[in-house]
Amino acid sequence: MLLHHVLEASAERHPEKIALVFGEERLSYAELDARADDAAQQLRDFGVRAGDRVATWLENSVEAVVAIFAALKAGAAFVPLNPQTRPPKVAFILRDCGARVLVAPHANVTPEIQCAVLDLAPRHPEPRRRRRISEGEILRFAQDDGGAAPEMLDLAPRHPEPRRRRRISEGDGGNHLAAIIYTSGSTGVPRGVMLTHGNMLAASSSIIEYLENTEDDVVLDFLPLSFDYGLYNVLMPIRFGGTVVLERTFIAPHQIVSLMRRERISGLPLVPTVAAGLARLRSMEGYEFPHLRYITSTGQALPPAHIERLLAIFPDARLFSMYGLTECKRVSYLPPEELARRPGSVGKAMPRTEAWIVDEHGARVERAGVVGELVVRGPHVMQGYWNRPEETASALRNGLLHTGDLFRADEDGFLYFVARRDDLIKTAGQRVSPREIENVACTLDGVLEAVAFGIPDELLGQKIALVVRAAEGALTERDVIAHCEAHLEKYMVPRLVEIRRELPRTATGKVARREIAIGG
Amino acid sequence: MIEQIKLILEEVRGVPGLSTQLSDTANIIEDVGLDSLEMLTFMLTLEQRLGVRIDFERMAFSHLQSIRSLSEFLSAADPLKADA
Repeated sequence: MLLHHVLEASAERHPEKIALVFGEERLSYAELDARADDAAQQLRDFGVRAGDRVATWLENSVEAVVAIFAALKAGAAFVPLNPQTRPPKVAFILRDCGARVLVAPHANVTPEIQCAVLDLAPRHPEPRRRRRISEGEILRFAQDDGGAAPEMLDLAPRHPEPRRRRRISEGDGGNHLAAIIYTSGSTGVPRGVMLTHGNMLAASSSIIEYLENTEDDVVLDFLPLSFDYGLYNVLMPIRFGGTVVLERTFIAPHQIVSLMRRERISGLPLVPTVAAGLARLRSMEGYEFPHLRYITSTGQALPPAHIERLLAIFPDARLFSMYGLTECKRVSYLPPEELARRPGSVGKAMPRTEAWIVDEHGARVERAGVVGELVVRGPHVMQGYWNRPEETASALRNGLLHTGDLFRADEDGFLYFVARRDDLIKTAGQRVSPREIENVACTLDGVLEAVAFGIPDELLGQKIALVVRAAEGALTERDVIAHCEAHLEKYMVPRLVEIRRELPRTATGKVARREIAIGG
Repeated sequence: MIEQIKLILEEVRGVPGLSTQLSDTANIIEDVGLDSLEMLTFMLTLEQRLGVRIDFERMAFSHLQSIRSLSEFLSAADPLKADA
């Protein structure tokens, strides 16, 4: 079975049922599947072949879901890019993964992006085909402008008639790539996590099992599809035959309050920042959410006070505190009945997977309270980083995924996050490389050196701070923030910036990062 | 109340002088550019400073389309009950 077969199977089972709600749009399973079939055929016509990569750079939308399933149906791996990612980084990723096609709104396709895709042509081994599709390598669809460029991918509904019945080949192995999801690497260069169909099916079936999802579930998803948490909250409901209510983004609490009632939401995935923000709002009290069955939160454990408040706002919901990383999607979850007893824990490994703590020699740590690195094994673990053999070898050793996260366990084996082993910053549930921020800061005129680090924050886990060395009067903090806002995704923009004329140094003259981070 | 909202926006967004640049018709999502975390902090600060209960059931995106429309919406809000 392959990942897109879950859509086809659900469309066979109940073609008329609503699969996806986005604003005023409501698509049945049959309609969603037909639109994905149609777009897949267009991708094939553009020259996409099995094993190619199709990047999507889209806000959450019906089109974003259609594009993902279309890429899979065409035999390609999809590469979901955050719509906030800036063109230089998009261009880098397109080159890095050798994307055959980019699906993006017409207006966002800058010359730089065009070059990134078109430059790939000489690498393709089939010159004849290359020439034939050279104009079609950038696929765009118009969100607003209605323009009809010849290379436009038309993601609108075109096949009103019911789709043909089709047999799903169960024998297909899930060993080829379904997705490459880019994350922040420790060197500051984004790296693509390679996930097969089998990886993604395994992860989603384990999660569905512990969340006890059924066809009756309606999931509200306002997390970006470029983020695996947002992505899986589309893939999983489609697999169990429920309904996804997709929002472009989380803007304000009234979205939750009104949609919960109107769409009878039963599953609410939250990131810790939003969960904590909602928990603190007294205006959230007093509403009834009779359909809500569960809330999930992943990234970091919620502070106990927020858990209590959240359960007061949503008294009938079961709250799942979870932990994961893109490299295997999800590691662990805390059964809701354990929440009161172990509020800081992210639980144990999810079904059919294993996770344990090792010491610096790789030996399993058996004693409670001893801190070591968390390792993970199971069918959900990635194949490696795209074209990064060294980073892959360091993350995947002896068949184990080394997370780089330090954990301890209690007497009953429940896991607690302690810290990162390296200096990656964990903010708002995302891992951010200080190097990536520093590299951007250093492209601003006047910045001589930059050091980024995380400082503890109740809402974000860590918030990003940046200390910059510059000549007196050369720059203001606002200049630095504005520059970072122009070149980084919003969640990577430092919340605190300080400009100094000198930085503390080690005996060998290197910048003393640690000393700066602890306030030196 | 409009001026208070502008000052809170300046504080939440962390841009000194922002309140003086914002017109009454400035769009809170697009012109001010609040992200989800800033929006939650904004709502929390409105609650605390203005002492109002924000009725999320009645609230709509249209109320965030200008500072004035938010101010009108909040003027009709109930006071926040004393801490339980």
